Amino acid sequence: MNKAWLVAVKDIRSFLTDRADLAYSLLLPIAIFALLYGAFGGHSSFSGTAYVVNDDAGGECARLLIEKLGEYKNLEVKVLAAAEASKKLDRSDITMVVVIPAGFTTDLVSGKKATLVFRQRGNGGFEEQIVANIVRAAAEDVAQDFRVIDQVTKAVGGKGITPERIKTTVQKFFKREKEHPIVNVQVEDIGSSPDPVGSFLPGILTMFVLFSLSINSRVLVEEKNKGTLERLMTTQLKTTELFIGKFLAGSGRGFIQVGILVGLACLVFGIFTPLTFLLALLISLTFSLAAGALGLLISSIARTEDQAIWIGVLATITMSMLGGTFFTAPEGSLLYTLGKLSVNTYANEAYRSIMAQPAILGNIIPDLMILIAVTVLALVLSWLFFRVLSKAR
Amino acid sequence: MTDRLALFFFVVFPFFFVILFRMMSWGNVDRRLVLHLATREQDGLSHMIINAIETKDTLKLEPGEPRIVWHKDYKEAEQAVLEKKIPGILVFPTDFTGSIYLGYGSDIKIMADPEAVNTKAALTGMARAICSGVIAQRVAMNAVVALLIENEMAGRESDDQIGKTIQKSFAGQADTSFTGSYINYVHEKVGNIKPVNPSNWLIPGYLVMFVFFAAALGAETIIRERQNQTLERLIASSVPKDAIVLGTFAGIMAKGLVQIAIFWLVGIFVFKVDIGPYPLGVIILSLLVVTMSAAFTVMLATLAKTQRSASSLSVFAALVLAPLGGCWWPLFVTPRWLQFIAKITPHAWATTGFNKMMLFGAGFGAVVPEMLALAGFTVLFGLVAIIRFRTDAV
Repeated sequence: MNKAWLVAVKDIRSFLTDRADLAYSLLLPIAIFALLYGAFGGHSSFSGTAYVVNDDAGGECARLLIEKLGEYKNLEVKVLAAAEASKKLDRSDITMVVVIPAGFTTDLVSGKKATLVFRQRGNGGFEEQIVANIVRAAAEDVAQDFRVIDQVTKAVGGKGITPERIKTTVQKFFKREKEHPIVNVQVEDIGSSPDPVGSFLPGILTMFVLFSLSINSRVLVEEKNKGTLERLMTTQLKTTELFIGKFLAGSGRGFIQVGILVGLACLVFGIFTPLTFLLALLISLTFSLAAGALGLLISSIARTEDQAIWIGVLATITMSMLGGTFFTAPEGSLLYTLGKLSVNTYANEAYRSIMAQPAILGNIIPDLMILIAVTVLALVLSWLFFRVLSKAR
Repeated sequence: MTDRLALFFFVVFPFFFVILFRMMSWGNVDRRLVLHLATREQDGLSHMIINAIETKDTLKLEPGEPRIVWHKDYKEAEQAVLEKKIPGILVFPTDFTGSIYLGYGSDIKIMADPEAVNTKAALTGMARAICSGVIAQRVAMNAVVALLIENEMAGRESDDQIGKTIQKSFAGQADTSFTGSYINYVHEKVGNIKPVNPSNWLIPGYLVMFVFFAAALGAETIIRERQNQTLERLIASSVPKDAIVLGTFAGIMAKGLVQIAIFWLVGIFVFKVDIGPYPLGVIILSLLVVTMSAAFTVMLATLAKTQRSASSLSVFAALVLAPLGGCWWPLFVTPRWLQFIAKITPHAWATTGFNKMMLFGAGFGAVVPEMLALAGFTVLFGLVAIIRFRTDAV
């Protein structure tokens, strides 16, 4: 067993002294986590596009409406020609177009009812319905001046008040309202806020540990193909000792990687108490054992370095996607069931369990037991292949 | 090409993810917008407003018209938001009517789940329209009163007449404020929404990622040949240095061309990808992706010293550039600042070009900037490669 430890220590030392490998093992997960956090972790806001066809070219009210829409934050306004809009609608490249018909301005100014047309596919699409809501609000704003003038004219009709006087008075009161509106809108968030660290961090940790170890499996394949392992066999090192040494090396490397990342997360985000930090290390150790065993299995199966890399990438990304790194599959769905086949699922669940609530070891025991079972199974399978290949030499 | 298992993985493997993503439910993208309203008043203006806009018969709703639901019990509605049963609600405060008529002012509140950004936008739009109506009514009343008082001062009206006019105006405006609009909204349905085919953005994203990834891993092979002095032997047999660079480049390109051909054929015939109205543009963009990836590989081979560092660098580059550049999710779902940063990656230009043509039906001219950017990256990588290319083993 001493020799197994020596093999492991040698490989781990090699990892720790290879600055490029170390940087890659630590920087890549940090970079991806930062990306995910930046892309999906903030308080995002609605973003939409209003496609407008303006058949009332030159119309002041049409221009005002398009200008008002442009003032909305996160609403992009694209004015299209009628033919282009029809073509895009036919192809379903867009699902709704707002058409300002000819005579829109004339109708509003003369006090008649103007028309605004929403040409759409189905209901227009969910986001486009929100855009339609915004368009209606903007249109009501534009029409409001004329509406009020019309109402006031009707109310004071026949009393010798001139239209110019009515318009001036209305405009004066509108100006006052704009400066001090009598009614405002206030938005309040209620309920629990999303926790991007809790959502993304476990998945990123498990993904990149598995990734490092599965990609590193190419090294063992390289050693096999170059004859390095064969030369080791001529020393007094037994196959079992070599096998265990490589397994310990892989698991140790994984544990160091995830341990550093968990430590960094603790320092930066303050998400762990001393107890939960220890539990996080326990989960990390168990997962590293499972990942190390899987890495060893890959190197036992692969015949060339390219195969090792591709199998490693396939295994990692599949397990990560099924394991809830980027999205959570709804319960009861096929993806949710398939997720049970991924080792990442259990590690991620364990991490989230200790991050979200007071730490209870009992909550994570089932997940840890499954990871240990996976470790044993992967070791048995890889020993089977490893031994066969060694015998073939 | 002789490593059939590796070949199998880099060609077939990406489609595995397409299948995985297609298994996800994307929800009904054309579900009708439902807006929830409540009031804390017992009676008054807020009741009048909600009553005027509430959906009484959902069967009479036009396509695209939102369904407005009035929650009579405000507390229950608030609890429903907290329990995430409804995403948000528009609430009139207790003293809304009094505050408006007495001129103190009031706030219409939107209470929503922090993640319900769409609901917040929809309710805010509705709240603004309501504010607009309330302000219009107030302006009208103030204008009527002001004009009538002016008339009285000019001796043309009596107090009694003014009172009757104002009363009539109140009643008339209450009827028209929130049911009547000066705009008639017409919904013209031109067809149904086609079901979402996620392959339309998945296939191009994974094409860019895996063509780049497979090419980048080729850097390891070049370094292996450098280290075992194959390249040096070629130079010794009078093969020009440029020919070696071009030959290497051509080999990587050939691999990429096979990949993109398989991607598009399988994508179109198996996953029913719609490549848009300008297939030539998609083909040109694909060729530029292959060329750029090949140039990157040759450049990487000149920067990395060992096979292991080449392998690590290529994986690092591929796995950082892919998500940043919109290969894992479309860039247009990310914040604008991230879309801006993504432009440092060739992947972002490639996926944006594909999305423009395949998702938004853009014309050839609209993707010229993306094509030029990819060509620019190719030239940049190629220049670095040519300048640094050497044949000595490290």
